[in-house]
Amino acid sequence: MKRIILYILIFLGLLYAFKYFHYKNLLSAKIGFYDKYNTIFNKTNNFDVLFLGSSRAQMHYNTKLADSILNFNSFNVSYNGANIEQAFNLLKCYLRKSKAPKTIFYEIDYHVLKYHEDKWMDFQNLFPFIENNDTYNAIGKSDNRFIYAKNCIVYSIANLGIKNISTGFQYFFNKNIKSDSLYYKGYFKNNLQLSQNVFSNEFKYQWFNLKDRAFLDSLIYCCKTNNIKLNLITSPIFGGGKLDVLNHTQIISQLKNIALTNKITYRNFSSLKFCNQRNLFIDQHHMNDKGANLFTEFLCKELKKN
Amino acid sequence: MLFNSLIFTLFLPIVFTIFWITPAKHRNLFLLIASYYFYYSYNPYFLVLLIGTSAFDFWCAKKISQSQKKKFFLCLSLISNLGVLFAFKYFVFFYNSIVGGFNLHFNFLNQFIIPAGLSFYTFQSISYTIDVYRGKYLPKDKLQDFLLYVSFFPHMVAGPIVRYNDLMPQLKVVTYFKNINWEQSIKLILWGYFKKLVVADNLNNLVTPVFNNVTSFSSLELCIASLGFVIQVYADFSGYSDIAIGVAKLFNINLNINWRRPLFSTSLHEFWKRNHISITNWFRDYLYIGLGGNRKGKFRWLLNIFLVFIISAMWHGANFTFLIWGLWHAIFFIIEIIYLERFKKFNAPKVFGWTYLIVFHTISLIAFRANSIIDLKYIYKQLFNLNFDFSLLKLFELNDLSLYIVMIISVFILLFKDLHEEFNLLKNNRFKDVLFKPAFYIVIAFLIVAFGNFNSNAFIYFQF
Repeated sequence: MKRIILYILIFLGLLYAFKYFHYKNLLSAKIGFYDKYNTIFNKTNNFDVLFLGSSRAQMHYNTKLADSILNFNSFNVSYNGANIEQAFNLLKCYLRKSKAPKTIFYEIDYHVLKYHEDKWMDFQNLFPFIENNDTYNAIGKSDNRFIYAKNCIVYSIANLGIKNISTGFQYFFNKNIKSDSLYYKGYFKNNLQLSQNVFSNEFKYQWFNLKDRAFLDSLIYCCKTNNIKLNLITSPIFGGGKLDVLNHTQIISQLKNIALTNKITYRNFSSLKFCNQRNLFIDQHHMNDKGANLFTEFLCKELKKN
Repeated sequence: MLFNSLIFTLFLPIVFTIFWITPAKHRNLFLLIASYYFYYSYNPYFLVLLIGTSAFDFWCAKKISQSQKKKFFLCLSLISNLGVLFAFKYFVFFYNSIVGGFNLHFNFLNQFIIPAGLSFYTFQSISYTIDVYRGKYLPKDKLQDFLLYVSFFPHMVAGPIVRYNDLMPQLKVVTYFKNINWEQSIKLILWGYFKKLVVADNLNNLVTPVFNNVTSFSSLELCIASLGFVIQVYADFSGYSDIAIGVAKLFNINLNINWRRPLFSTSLHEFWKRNHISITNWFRDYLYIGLGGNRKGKFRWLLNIFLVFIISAMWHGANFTFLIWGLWHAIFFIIEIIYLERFKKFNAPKVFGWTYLIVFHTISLIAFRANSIIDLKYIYKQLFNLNFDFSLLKLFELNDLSLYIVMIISVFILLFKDLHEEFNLLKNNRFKDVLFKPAFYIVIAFLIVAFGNFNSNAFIYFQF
C-alpha cells in the first residue's frame, strides 16, 4: 500500500513537472495565438483602439490595415465563440494591466447571443493563462471547467489534447506552428473560400435574454467609467443574416434601441452589397482575408467621413 | 456509464469504499444495487428488462430441477431470452430489409435503441439454464446472488461472459481487503485504459473518417485504415476486458482472461483460441456441441462449423457485411481443417502462418467494419486493383501529424507489451521489479492522461 501511494505521488509529480514545462513553452510564443492572449492577459499595453468580439471580430477587423489607414494603434481582443459575457471578461482582463483605450468597436449580432452553451470554446488553450489568479478569477466564474482545470492536475492535463501538447513541444524546439504567421495584433487572416452547401439553418429565432442584456449593460457601463468610446458594429454576414435567423431585422432594431438608449453608436454592415459574394467568405458567418480587407477599408472610410 | 467516462472515476472509488466497509453478509446486495445503478445510467427502462429476464431465468432453472417438464421450462427460458434478443437486435434488420425491398418509406425504427450488453447478459443467463438442464448444477442459490451473477457491473455490458461455476463460488465466499491483488488489478486497469484511450480512440480518428467516406481515399490509405481497424478493434475490446478483469479484482473476484494476444496467432484455429475467448467458448459449448459437434460424421461436422460461424457473425449484428465476415472465417476455417488433415506432417515456418493470419484477418475485418455492402465492394475493388494507388495525401490532411506520431508510438508500446508477454523478453531480475516496472507503469499512466482521447467514445463491442 505504501508503495502504491509513493507511485501515485511520483505520478502526480511527473504531471506537475510536465504542466510547468508545457505552459512555459506555450507562453514563450513570440507570435500567434499564445502571443495574442499573453498580450491581453499578461502584458501592459497602450493601444488606443480595440476590436472586441467573437471569431467574427477576429477575422473581420484587419488591425494592420486599420492602423495604416486611420493611423490607429489598434489590437483585436477577440476569442472564438465568445458571447457577450466572455467578451466582457476579456475586456476586464485587458484593462487590469493596460491603459484604457480611447475607442472600442464591439462586434455584436445574433452570433454572440447565448444560442450555444456558455462555455469557452477550446478552453484548454487558455489553461496557461489561468495560472494567473486574476485571469482565473475573471474567466473561471463563467465556466466551471476552469475551476476543475486549476485545481485538478489530472483534469487539466487530460483535457489538453495531442494538438496542444504538440504545440508546446514545437515552441520548445523554437519552431512556430502553421497558424502563428496568420495572426497580426490579434487579427486572424483566413484565406479559405466559401464552399458549396455550407448552409445550416440551425437557429431560427434569436433574442437577447436577460443575461445577455445584463452583460451588455455592464460592458457599456465599464466603457463609460473608463472614458472609452464604445461603438457597436455588426459586420457583414453572408446573405445579410437572413439565411440564419428569421427575426434578423428585429435583432438589428433591438440593437439600435440599445445604442440609442445608451447614447452610443451602432453601425449595421450586415447587408452591405458585397455580403452576397461567395469569394469573400469562408462560411456563412465568417469572411476570408479578402473580405476582411474590403470590409476594414469600408469601415475606415465610414469612420473618416464622421 | 462508460469505463472511460468521468462519472466512472467517481463511481468506482465510491463503490469500492462502501463495498469494503459493508459487513460481509450484505456485500453482495450492495454490489447488486451498484451494478443496477451502473446499468440504470445507460437507460433506466432497460434495467427493468435486465431484472425481468434474469429473474425469469432463475425461476425457469428452479422449475427445470424440480419439475418433470424439464424441456418445457428450458424452452421457455430460451424463448424468452432469444425472443428479447431477436426483438431488439434483429427485428429492425428484418423490418428494414422488408421495407427496403418494397421501397417503402416508413422509417420509424431508425432511432431504435438496443439495450447495452443485451447479448452478453442474455448468453450468460442462457448458459446457466442449459447447464441446469444438463444436470451440471443444482439451482440452490438465492435470487439476489443469481441476479448479481448476471449483472456484476464490470463484465455485464461487454463481457467477458462468465460461467456459473467460475463466478458464483467467488460470490459466496467471504473475502478480505488485505487479499486484494493490487499489482495485478492496477496493471490490468492501466493497460485497459491505455489500449482504449490512447491506442483505440486515437486510431479511431484515422479509421472512422476513412470508412465513412471510402471513395475519397486511395488504395494505400484504405489499406492503412483497414490495418488500423485491426489494431483498434483488438485494443478497444481487449482494453475493455482488461479494465473489467482489473476492476473485478478490486472486489477479490477473478474473471477469466478473454484475449490472449490473438494477433500473434499463426493460423485461424489458433486465432479463435486466443480471440474473445469467452464468447468463442460459449458458442462451442452451447451451439456447436448442441448441433452435434464432430460426432455425426465429417460432412455434418464441417456443416456445424459453418453454421456456428454464420450464427456468430449474425450475433455481431444483423447486417449483410457481418454475414460476409462470417463467411470468410467459416470458409477459411474449413479449408484449414482439410489442409491440416491432408498435410499433417508439413510444418510451415511460423512467419508464414503469421503473415497469412494478419492478411486474412485484415481483409475479413474490412467486411466487419464497412458501413455497407457498396462500400465493402468498393474497398475490395481498390485493394485488389492492378492500378493500386499509393497516394497518402488525404490521410495527412485528415489529422495533425502529431496525432499520427502518437498513434505509431502507442501501437509500438502495445506491441512491446504483447511481445514481452508472448516471449518473455525481459527476464525477471531485481532491477526490473524494483525500478523498471514501476517506472514503466508510471509512464503508461502519464501517457493515458496526456495522450488519451477522453471524448467518451463508446466501446466498439457495446453495440453487440
